[in-house]
Amino acid sequence: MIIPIIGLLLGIVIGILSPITIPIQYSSYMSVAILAALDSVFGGIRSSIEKTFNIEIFMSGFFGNAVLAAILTYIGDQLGVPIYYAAIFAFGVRLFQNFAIIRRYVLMGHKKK
Amino acid sequence: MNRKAYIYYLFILAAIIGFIVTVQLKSNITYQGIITIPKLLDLQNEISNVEMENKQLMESISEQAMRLVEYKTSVEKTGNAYGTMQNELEKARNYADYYTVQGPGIIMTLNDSQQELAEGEDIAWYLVHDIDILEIVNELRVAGAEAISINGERVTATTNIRCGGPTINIDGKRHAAPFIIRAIGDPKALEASALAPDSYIELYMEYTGIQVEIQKVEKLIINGYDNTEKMKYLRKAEGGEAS
Repeated sequence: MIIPIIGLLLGIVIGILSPITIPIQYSSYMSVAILAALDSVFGGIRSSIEKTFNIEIFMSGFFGNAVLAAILTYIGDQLGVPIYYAAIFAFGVRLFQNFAIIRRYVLMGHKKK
Repeated sequence: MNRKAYIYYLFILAAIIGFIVTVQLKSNITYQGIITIPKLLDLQNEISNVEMENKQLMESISEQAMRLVEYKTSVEKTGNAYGTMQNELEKARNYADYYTVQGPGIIMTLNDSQQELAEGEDIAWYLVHDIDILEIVNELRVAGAEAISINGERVTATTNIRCGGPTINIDGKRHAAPFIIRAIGDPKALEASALAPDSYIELYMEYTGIQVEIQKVEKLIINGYDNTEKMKYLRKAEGGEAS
């Protein structure tokens, strides 16, 4: 548990120190990427509770979702239609669903103890 | 499954998430909403409007600079700017129709119809109304009239022409038929506009026999506006109309 947190801190530190900023026209890509990552994290937590965690699936989901969401955003930008709403919607729904399942597992686990 | 191995993957992922989130936060992006095509066009319009305004302001700057130069030369020549200012005032008063002016133009006389009323007809059809005068004044302006008077009453930008029962009130003063409209401008153009097919006179006044006489004049004198106080509330404003 400690190692991912260290990674998170490392990422934050790199982010603060690096001179990179995102131009405004790419901000929607970034928000979708963040959402995809969060979705993968919740999915990972759920699967690890269910003991079906598989690192390949996790990694491919993480990057694949982010890339697909970015492509959708790009197509939407070209067409002038906010297609990335589809990605936000899908990720959002899954995020809450996964959270609900995690909640149930955690609360049930406590009750059993 | 090797627990040790995937914890390092998680480490990398966590680092990536941390990095993305921090960069996003650091970029300080305010949410713009979706930029749709109508929105884009609106913004384009706005930009072009602002550019136009800019151009106009630049023009007014150069205009003001010209005036400043004028003042300066007049101060150098005569010791004060009085002459130039007098000229300007004259111009302004001319635009405001304060001066008695002269020039070529037409005299149009409108009189009520002499026709007999047929049964079922309304006498109102055979009279000259305020709306007729208004329309004719407008048509004269379209034809390029530079100064207009009605029965000696100068028509200014704020002149009102209103029905007053059997009479017509022009700027609050009663006038009865016949109405003599004087207009300075190109006499031919003014006459043509009044007599043209589809003109107001042709369309609405010929039929009922309202008498219209038009006389072209080489030298016409039109009185100035004689009521001095007409801008009570108006003040000069800075900048344009904000939308």
